[in-house]
Amino acid sequence: MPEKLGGWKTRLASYYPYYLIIPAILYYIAFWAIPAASGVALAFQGPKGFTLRYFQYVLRDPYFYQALGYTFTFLVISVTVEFILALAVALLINTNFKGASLFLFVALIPMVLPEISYGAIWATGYAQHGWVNSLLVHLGLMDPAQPMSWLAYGKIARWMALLIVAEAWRGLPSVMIILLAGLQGISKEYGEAARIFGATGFQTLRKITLPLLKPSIQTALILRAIGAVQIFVIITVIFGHRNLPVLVEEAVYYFRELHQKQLGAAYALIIMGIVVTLSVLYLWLSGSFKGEEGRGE
Amino acid sequence: MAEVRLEKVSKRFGKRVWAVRDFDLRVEDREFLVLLGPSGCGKTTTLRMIAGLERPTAGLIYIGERLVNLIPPRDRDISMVFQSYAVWPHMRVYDNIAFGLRYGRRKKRLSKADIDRVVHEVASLVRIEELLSRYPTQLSGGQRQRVALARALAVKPQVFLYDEPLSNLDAKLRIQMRTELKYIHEQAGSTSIYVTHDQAEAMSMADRIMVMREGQGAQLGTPNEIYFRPANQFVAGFIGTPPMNMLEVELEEEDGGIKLVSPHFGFRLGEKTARAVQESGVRQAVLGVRPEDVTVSLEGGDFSAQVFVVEPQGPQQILSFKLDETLIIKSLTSADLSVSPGQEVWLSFNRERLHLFDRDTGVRLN
Amino acid sequence: MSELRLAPPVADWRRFTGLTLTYLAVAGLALFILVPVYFLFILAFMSRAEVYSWPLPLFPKHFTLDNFHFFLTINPKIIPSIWRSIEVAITTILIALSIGGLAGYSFARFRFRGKNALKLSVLFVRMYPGVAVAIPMAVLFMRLGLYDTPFPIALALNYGVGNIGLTIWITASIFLGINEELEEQAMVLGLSRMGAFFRITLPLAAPGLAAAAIYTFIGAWNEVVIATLMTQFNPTLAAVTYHTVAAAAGSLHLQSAGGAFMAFPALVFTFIIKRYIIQMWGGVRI
Repeated sequence: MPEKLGGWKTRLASYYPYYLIIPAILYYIAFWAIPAASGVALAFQGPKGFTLRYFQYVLRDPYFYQALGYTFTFLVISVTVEFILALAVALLINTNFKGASLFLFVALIPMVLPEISYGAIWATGYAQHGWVNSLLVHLGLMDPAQPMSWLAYGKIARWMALLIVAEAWRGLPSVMIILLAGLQGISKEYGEAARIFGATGFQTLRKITLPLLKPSIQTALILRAIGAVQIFVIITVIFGHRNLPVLVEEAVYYFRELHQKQLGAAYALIIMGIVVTLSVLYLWLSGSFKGEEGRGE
Repeated sequence: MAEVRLEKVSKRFGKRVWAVRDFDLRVEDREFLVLLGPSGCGKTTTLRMIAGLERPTAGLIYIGERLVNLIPPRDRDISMVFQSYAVWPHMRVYDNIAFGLRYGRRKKRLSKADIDRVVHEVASLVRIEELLSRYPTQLSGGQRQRVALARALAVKPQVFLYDEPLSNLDAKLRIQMRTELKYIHEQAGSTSIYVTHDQAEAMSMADRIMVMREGQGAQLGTPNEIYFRPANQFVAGFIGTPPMNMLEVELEEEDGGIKLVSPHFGFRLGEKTARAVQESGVRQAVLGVRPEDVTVSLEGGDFSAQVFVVEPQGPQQILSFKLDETLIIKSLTSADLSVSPGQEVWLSFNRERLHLFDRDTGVRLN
Repeated sequence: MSELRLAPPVADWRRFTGLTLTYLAVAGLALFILVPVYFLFILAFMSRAEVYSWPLPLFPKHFTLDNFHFFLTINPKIIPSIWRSIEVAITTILIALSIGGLAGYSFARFRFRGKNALKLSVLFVRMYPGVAVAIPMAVLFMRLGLYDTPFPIALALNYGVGNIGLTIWITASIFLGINEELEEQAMVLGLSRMGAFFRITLPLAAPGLAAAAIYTFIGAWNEVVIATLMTQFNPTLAAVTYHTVAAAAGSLHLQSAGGAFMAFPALVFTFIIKRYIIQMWGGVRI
């Protein structure tokens, strides 16, 4: 009895799934892996071979510490605020209500609006005679004779608050949608069962809903953190260049304005290190490193 | 014209999992053969290998005289009805049915009029003529099922393959469709291979049943053979509701005959059974008795037992008796017999219908 | 008197407060999202006099396109950059759908060795920061003489990287949503795998694929940072608008016109494919 039939033809057919993936892999190699690797080379390559001078320069640059500090302050506060508010909203609206699909479209708007529009919205908003002050005047909350000068130079704490409000406008809906999707994946019967066994609403939330929601919470938090590390456009549009320096802005500044490719690459590498750490953390927490799954052929 | 033959067919998924192993099967021409078994026994994989949707890891598959291992599904002259019906949602019912006639390449091209004739013919056979211009989303599950059938019939294949086609229908419709499927099979005059885990479906439709277990054949036979002479303990236990009672017994030689002994009862076996047992030399056995072969009487029998639970089933009732902590036997009796839990009654086994299995191998002794 | 009585109409205050809270949350968030967008658009359409009146009117009286005209003519690069943005977006769509779609189909339909590692790499590449690739890529393309070309091929190729990953994700879920048995049925009835794909799967997947294309378009149209890094004299609309808007602090009419102009395509396209975007973000169905 012939054990194997077909020989090369059969074997060729069994590579089918790989043929379909090869173009993607080649593309990734050419336009991702090679540039990414050369980026590492760029940051470490001086005129006479390997060097750490660009990183030494970065570490001596006072702007670097400012950028690092502002980036992380922003990350921690903004992700926390967005998460708490988004969770509250998601819990409140996790029911059937009229107009839900329209509401979801509204929630999508900040996520799909170009960053420039987003910047323009808040730059025109925070201007001294902008729409935020106008709205406050119309609501009777502000004296038209003394409009607030939100963007007064050097008030870093106030700027940070403004930035967090603006970023909440953009980020909160997406966090809410991720959490809402997670909530809907949780069978209502788990909560109902807890109620029947005597748990209060708050206990049900703490002991049943939140633990079951953990995967969505992780996804939302880490994706937002990755976004927050790379904040840049909104800051320059609202506050101007290098008034509130952040990491990406420094990379762009050195590369494009000063034509210091290597310093730009060094900054890019630092950002990469932070983002990759967060990404790996995310992939690890989401269980992506565990075994194969999928459908059989 | 088209028998289907599988010789030592195996299918391995990944490195370790054998879905089917050294499986032999010969389906006669025009036979209705059912592959029956619990989920994960390899029956669907077997069917998909016959269809060409899976490639066997080893072994040969013949349809008619043709070795089909390397022949793609479209050239195998088969039809298949899937569990999900696989009715294409973007085509009208008419186009669904005509699909195989238009694009299939095994038959010579049919004219438009011929296609139209065939579509109407099969549509009337499954009684969906008035649905031809609808889209599948407008149909009920039962109607979609009929579309899938009509589509399979239209190409007049040599072999019909069914993958649990009725499992998504509600109970009433399922029983009705059984009758229709069997009628259609007879009309079409093709070979049919039908996969199911529902034994009632298998019993009522099959010419022969192949019971499968862990990728291998457990028994091949007519529904009656499978039911009345199960070849092993697995088949005996799998077929029949409520399932067959299984009791561990010792077989002892006595006065040239064989006595069957258990902590609860003992009796001499009939001569024919005794001879078979003597030949096998097995002394540790499992006695199988179907619930309907356990007679309950108030006057006398093989042994006495207390009624444990009474489950009425309309004209019949299931009585359970707890013989000891782990052993419960069931009897299917007429509902006329009026007993209540706790009552002491007499049980006896129908001697003509005893099943004896080797306790170690599970193989039938008598 | 009859013993039969309807249950007394008890006020279901729990349900009532629940619903009230729901609507309050919905209304609050909706206002928070929509008010800023509303102001962006009315500012863009206001007459210059109204833009610089104090306080700004809540409901402007004079609608005009002057601000847009001003924005579009302030820099001669802007008009050509619109076409360039469209070209880049369409090139990105072609790259992403052809290459990503093939891989997505493979992920959805086959089980093969290394699949999980590949999926992980896709996710990883997708999360890798754009700057960290754009800077060295710009340097490489400078050496090849392809940096800042009139048709910014380098930019489209860079966008391709992220969008292939996204498209693999989206198309894989589209193809997974199409029961494999539909394809197998077509194969049994006479088609090859390729034939079954084109006759059955592709028509069924078409709306989803169109949505993926539109989503890619929005992404490419919106993107600023990489466009800024990889172009100089031949910018995309996003890049040139960014510089215009960032340099125009206090010029509300210019900033709002630029922001609103950029926002139109994104909003219109999002409305068209909102169902798909919501699904993409985790299958929310309220």
